[in-house]
Amino acid sequence: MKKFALLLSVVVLAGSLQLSLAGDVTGKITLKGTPPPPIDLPYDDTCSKLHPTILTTRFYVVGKDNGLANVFVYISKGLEGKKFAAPTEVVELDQVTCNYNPYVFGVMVGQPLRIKNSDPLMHNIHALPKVDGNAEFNFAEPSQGDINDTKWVESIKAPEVMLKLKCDVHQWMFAYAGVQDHPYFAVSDADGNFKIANVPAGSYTLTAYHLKVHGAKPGESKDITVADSPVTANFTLEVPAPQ
Amino acid sequence: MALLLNVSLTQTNNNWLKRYAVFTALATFVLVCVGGLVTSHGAGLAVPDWPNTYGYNLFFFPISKWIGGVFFEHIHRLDASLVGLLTTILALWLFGYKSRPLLRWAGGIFMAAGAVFCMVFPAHAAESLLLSGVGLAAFVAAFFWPRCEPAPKWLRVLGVTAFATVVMQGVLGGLRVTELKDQLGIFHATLAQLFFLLLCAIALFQTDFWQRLPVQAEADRHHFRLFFSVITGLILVQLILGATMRHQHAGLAIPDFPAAYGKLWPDTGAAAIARYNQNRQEVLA
Repeated sequence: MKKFALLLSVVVLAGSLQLSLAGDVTGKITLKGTPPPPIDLPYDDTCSKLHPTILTTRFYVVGKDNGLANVFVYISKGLEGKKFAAPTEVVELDQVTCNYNPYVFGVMVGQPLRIKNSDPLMHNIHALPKVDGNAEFNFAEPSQGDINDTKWVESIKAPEVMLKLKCDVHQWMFAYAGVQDHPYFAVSDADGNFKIANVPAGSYTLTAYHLKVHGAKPGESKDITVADSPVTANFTLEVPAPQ
Repeated sequence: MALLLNVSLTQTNNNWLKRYAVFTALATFVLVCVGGLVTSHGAGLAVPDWPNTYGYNLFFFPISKWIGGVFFEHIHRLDASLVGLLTTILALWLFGYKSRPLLRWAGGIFMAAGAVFCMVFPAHAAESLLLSGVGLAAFVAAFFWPRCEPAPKWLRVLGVTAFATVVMQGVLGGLRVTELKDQLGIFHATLAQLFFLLLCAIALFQTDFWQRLPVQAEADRHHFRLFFSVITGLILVQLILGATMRHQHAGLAIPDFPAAYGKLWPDTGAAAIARYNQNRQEVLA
């Protein structure tokens, strides 16, 4: 009994130490330069009835203090050889007022993605991966309330930044998924803030990627070291010069 | 083409068949244009299923749902069905009175198939109705079918080839949607134009103009056959390149003309290509 109690104490202590040697990585993404103005989405009559005010592209969503939204921030180096179980928490991608919400999101390989149609009209969901191991798919959700929980997990097996989804019925509808094989990623909010929680202690490369700022380039990276206290990593991204 | 074929032509006097062949060729031209609109609007995959349309039978898809990209793709499928029917009639017409027994038998089989399908799959009444309807139409048509003499054998072969090609086109178009393969789209686009040429040829060979052309009596001393064959081959290569460009959405990969990125020969280094591809992103993506 004494030996069991001692063993239990050691296990609990080791677990606590492990937790205390993890930290949050937080930061803010700031945009430098003047982005091009957003473009009005060419809604057809059917979609215009769902959303009377004009919606625009979401290329550069800039908030307080030039904070840039929709930046995918993730640990790109330092986790090699480590395996992480995919969470069972469901990420939801909704089609509402003829637009995808969210526009940019993060999801782990193997994590369920619920693709939902909240509109009273039909959409198709067409995924266009570029990485080997991820299969293109295209299926219909013709009615309001249609849900699919399986297609994503069946088709997407490898990390990819960023995986495009589109609707071929409505030419302006796009969403982008940052797919990782670990849980240490985040998408910056409306004011450019992000938080990656409980990153294990260690040295890593943190990368911030924005669709329009970086395009075909890999994104901006910086080295961080996580110990037992929160780490702050801020990025300043610059509007690229016109080509 | 007379030089290439080098066959003697038997005169056909069926003016209605001649006119119908022209009409079918024109209808095919419209179909090729509609197909081009589908690619231009990026609507090729707006209808993810085939042969149905969002679960509906193709011919019973509600008009209220012909929205956005679905409109172009659905119109294309309907138009393709029409051209398929026109081509079938053309192929049969070229066989003249010999098509009558075929139409009676095919009509009977289709009607029976429709009845059996309805009994086995009562939920698919639309498909059963369609099968039976087609069968009935073919059966009745057999009694009114033209009693003209069949066209020359080589022309009938072209007619059958046209029929086989339009069926292949339908299947290719469907597989392009279900298999998500760009290569199928490229082949579908190229074959569409070859099919159009074939129908134009069938129409041309029946015209008085063609039948009055003298058959070449002398040997081809100036190698015109080789010259025309090479030119035709080059045009085919251009068609394939164009189809490839269209189905990879590279139509605006070079934004200026006649220069290419300001030069006679653009920079094709890795960094430059990455920049060009970045610019090719959809405007709204």
